[in-house]
Amino acid sequence: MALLTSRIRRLLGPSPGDPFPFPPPDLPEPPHLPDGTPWRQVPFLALDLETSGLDPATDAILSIGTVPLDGDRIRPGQAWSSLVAPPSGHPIPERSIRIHHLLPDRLLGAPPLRQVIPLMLDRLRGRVLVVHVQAVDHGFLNRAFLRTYGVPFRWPLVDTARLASFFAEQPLLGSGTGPHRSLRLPDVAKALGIPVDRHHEALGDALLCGEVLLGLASRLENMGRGTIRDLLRAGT
Amino acid sequence: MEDISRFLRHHVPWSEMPPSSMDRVVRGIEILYLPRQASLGSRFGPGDGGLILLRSGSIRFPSDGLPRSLEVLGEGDFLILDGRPELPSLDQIVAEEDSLLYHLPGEVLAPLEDHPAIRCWVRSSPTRRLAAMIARDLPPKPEPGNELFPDHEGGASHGASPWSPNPATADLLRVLAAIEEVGRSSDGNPFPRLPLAHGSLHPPSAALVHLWERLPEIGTPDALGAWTEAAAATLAGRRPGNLDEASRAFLWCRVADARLRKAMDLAGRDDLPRCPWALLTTAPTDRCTWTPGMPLVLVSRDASDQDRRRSEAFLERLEGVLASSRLPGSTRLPDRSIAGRCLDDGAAAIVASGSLDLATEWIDARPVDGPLDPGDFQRLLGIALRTPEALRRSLSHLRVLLPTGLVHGMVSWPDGRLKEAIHLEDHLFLPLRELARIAAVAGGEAPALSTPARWAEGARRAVVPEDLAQAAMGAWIWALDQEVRLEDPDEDPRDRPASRTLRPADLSPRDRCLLRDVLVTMHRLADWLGRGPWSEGTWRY
Repeated sequence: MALLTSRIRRLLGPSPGDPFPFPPPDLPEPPHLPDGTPWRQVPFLALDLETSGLDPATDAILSIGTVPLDGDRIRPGQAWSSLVAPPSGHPIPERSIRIHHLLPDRLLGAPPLRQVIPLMLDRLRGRVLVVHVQAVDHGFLNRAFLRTYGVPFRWPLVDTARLASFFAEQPLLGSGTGPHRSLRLPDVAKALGIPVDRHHEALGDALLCGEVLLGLASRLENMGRGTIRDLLRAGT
Repeated sequence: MEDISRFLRHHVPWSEMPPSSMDRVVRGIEILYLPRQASLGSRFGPGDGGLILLRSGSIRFPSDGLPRSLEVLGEGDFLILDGRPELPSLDQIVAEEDSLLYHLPGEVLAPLEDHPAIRCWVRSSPTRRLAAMIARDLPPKPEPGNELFPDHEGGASHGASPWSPNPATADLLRVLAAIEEVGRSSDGNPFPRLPLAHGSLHPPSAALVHLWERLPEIGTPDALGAWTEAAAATLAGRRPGNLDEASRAFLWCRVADARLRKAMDLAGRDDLPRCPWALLTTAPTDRCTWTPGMPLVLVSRDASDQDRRRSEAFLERLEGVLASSRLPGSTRLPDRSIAGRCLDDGAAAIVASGSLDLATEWIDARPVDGPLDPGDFQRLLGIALRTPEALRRSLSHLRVLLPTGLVHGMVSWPDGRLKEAIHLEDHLFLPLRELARIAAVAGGEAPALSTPARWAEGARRAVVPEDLAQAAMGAWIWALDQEVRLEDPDEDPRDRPASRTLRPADLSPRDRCLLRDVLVTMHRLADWLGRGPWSEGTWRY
């Protein structure tokens, strides 16, 4: 219903006093990068979401974390995160609390999604998005965009899980011990020699996702595929 | 970025930095990935002016006649890219394995050098740096009446500025200088001086190996100076001091020993002498017939059943020793069965010493629990003050997670159900963690770093009785112990599935009793916190 309303409102255009006009005049354009650009010169934004479940249609975003990368250097000092208040009455299953440890009390007073998405978008401006398992994160972002702006979320994106699966059958991931099978973020990180401090915390996972990107992109580069086009081909 | 600052806080010299400098470092750090066999030259220029700190992996220098132990930098080691002529070409410094690097650009590093601890490490000689590292690990508290560490201006003052060696550290410095003298005076086969003395690439682990290789040349442990003697004397009860200080000294020895083991691992050496301080502390004396070193080995994670039995026997004897000691009136001994089962050597020694503070200090150093963000804490506190319903709701929510007891090896629940297993995370760690957070909020103070520390803080602030806080920590340690038993040795302990379950029927009778005690403790905690001033109506704090 909300989606239908959103589309109708989009056709009608923003109304006076509408606090969330859509599509917003300042909705940034996705970055356009020449195919031959070395990935080490491309700005990225690693992102992770903590959610109340895995279904974008029924579950809610509870936390967003982002960490920017300028080419092959992660800038943790410019990291950003925000808790997100779930819609009123939206239950947070105990099963998901076990994973992300976000108790309902912690989300009291957090801003709603429609206020957080523009802040995230500001950080995404000019950067290629990096997530681990795009089916989940992209699905939630798409839903959030439709609700907030009335437009789908379309953005160049590298999925580190997909990128890892590219190497899964090759002995390049891991220390020569054979093919790496698990595509869970901490497993991929460990196979790349990256320490895993905490898992299922949006900011920490965004940082880990950025580190994993560096490891996987370096390996791709060693195979003679060092451009952003190569990276997007292997990772989407 | 808490993960980064946590890592820095555990490594010298970053652990010496005040919070404001730590924030500056974390904000300025860049993270890079160096795949195996890639060179530093592929990422950095020779005159970079910054500092590279290894977060994981290792990088190797060209051999160039150096001892092998000095060729490799490992986790926590760093080097400065200041373009000194003795620094080999960055193209020759390559990753020995996949490595994650923290790069501190020159503009971030330069202001930090105003801090004495940092300046000491990045600009001073290796001897001074090594002395600083050792002496600053866990120095004894300065206090009136302590002739070696008097509490007066110019005396020991860890964390104070500017850094100046206290008398004990000065002794250590002299010893280190003597090592170099020995090297110089040897005829025919001179030892090299502490290598790379000018510079930027003197990793702590390599320095330690270098030191230990030369210790036999110094002769007796007495030569190590008054500080070591004092520590040994305190441990042996030959010198006025209290158990708290003895425990600190003991822990200090263990830290030194652990550093040596790491250095040996890095260097691939197994033929180095043991830490002389550790040897000192295992020597029985007339006052102290027990050997402190024993339980530390015996109750480690991978101890055998026989080791555990010997450990418990030791703890029985330790109780006798402690009972006859001059313990402060408020010192309480924890349950021996819990002390004997705790995670590892250091925790065992400290819990056995009866010091809640020390145990929390030790456990704080482990990544057992994430910190409560100060901002979150203030928000929680504000909510609690304004609307005590939040606390009441939290407690009600937690009570649902608490099993009510054990019935014939089954776990009973408030609604009368019986289950064969409980979830470690959901029904032990999570309630204890959240109860501790509630206690911290109720205490109205800045958040402590970990659940045990919060319990200690709660006890200090009389939010919970001390015996209840101690029982809570015992419960926490027992749960950790159970988790360790269930863990896959190849699995990262920080990435364990939340669904790990505990079947009381599979536990030993003794552990079943302990589990029952843990459940009782959690209910007592919930009841106690539920009777706080926020329990009904408006909380007038």
